[in-house]
Amino acid sequence: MTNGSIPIRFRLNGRGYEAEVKPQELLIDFIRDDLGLTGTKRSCDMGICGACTVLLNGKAVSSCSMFAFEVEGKDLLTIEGLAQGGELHPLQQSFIERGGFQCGYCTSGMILSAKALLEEKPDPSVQEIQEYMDGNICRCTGYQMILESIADAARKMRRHSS
Amino acid sequence: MISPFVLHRPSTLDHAVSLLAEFGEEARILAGGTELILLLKTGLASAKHLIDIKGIPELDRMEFDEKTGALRIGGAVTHRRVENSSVVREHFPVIAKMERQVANVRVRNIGTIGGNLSFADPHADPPTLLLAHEAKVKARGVGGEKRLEVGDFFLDYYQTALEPDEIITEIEVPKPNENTVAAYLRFCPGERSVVAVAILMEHRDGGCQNVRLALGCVGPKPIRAFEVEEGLKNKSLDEISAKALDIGEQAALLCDPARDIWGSVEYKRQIAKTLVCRGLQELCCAENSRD
Repeated sequence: MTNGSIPIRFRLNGRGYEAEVKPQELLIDFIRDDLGLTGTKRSCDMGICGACTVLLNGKAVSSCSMFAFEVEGKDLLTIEGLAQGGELHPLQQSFIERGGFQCGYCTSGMILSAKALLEEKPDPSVQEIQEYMDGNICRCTGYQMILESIADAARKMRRHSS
Repeated sequence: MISPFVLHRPSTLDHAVSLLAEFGEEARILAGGTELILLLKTGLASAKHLIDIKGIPELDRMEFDEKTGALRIGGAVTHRRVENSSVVREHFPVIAKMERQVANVRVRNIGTIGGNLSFADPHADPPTLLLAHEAKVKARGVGGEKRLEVGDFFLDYYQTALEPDEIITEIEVPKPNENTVAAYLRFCPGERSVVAVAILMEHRDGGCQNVRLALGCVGPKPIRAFEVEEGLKNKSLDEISAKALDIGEQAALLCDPARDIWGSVEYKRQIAKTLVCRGLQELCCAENSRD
């Protein structure tokens, strides 16, 4: 049907956006190169490590293993879309306060995955956080601070919404 | 970089099938793409045409048949949907638990059960449990509908009985008999399971009326341990539990694992023996856990 460019219309970090992509273009390359949003990181390039995680209609996906045209009609959230009006998201705040990152390379993926978790389960147990996050790999922190950051953000977000 | 391809987005099954027939070896089906994109990126597969089947409504249905008690899962249903489905959790809880263990949440959000089966990765999780359930795989091609037992669906490493023009439309899991308990155990130190064991055991009067034991990830395709199953018929649960390790040993000898970085043949058989033993003991003690 088409091997030229595919027009796409979608929401990018809360705003309507239009673009044209080649069928074979990967979502991660579209995000980093076409959109210039380099907060999403390429690491294993196989969908295993989670560094390239973005949220599509609220669901965590590996942008390295998805075509760009798949965002058509959907809501794409990258790490750059979390802070609102200059204010950090509670997850970002907690990761800073609780030492949830060292080199920071896995962090975008960690925070977005945690956001998806907290949408689904606003009050997760430690075990539930661990299980949900088991698809995101970190080489620096040993995970403990990441889990604490997420639990801390969950508390903040529950307090804020009640 | 992935080579350029033509993207097709049929909205009916018939159109998708005719596209596959038209382009033959040059076409691949795109559902979740979690396996396909890796193959395209590494050059292990190539495609001049991708047939995106996500817009075909009948492939996205999941139904529990109240009358027959069977579960019908459309080929393009995601692992995540199966894992989270209240109907699956109620009537087939071990299937939900197994689906929960597939890859990671991002793969499960996008990857499909039909895609998993058609790729026939020898280390995948669903095939082994579906084999123990004696599930059926339905496919559609230009020649019409096909309905296969899971046992006849997988032929070899990465090889299935699907013709190039065929798409998996549905996986049907029949209702297990009354008083059947199930277990799925696996050894997965890395990304994909190295050994998987699936057992369905029908209890009657403190004994095993019937058992189905499948071993997966330890050969080109999952297998049923028929000889072992015969030996367990009408034995008491206490006796099975006491002899579980020996039974495990017998079952482990039936599989033909490949020696690789995850272990030697002997090591994998040892793990298989242990998982069979644990599974049997778990099910011999399971009173009210149904599948």
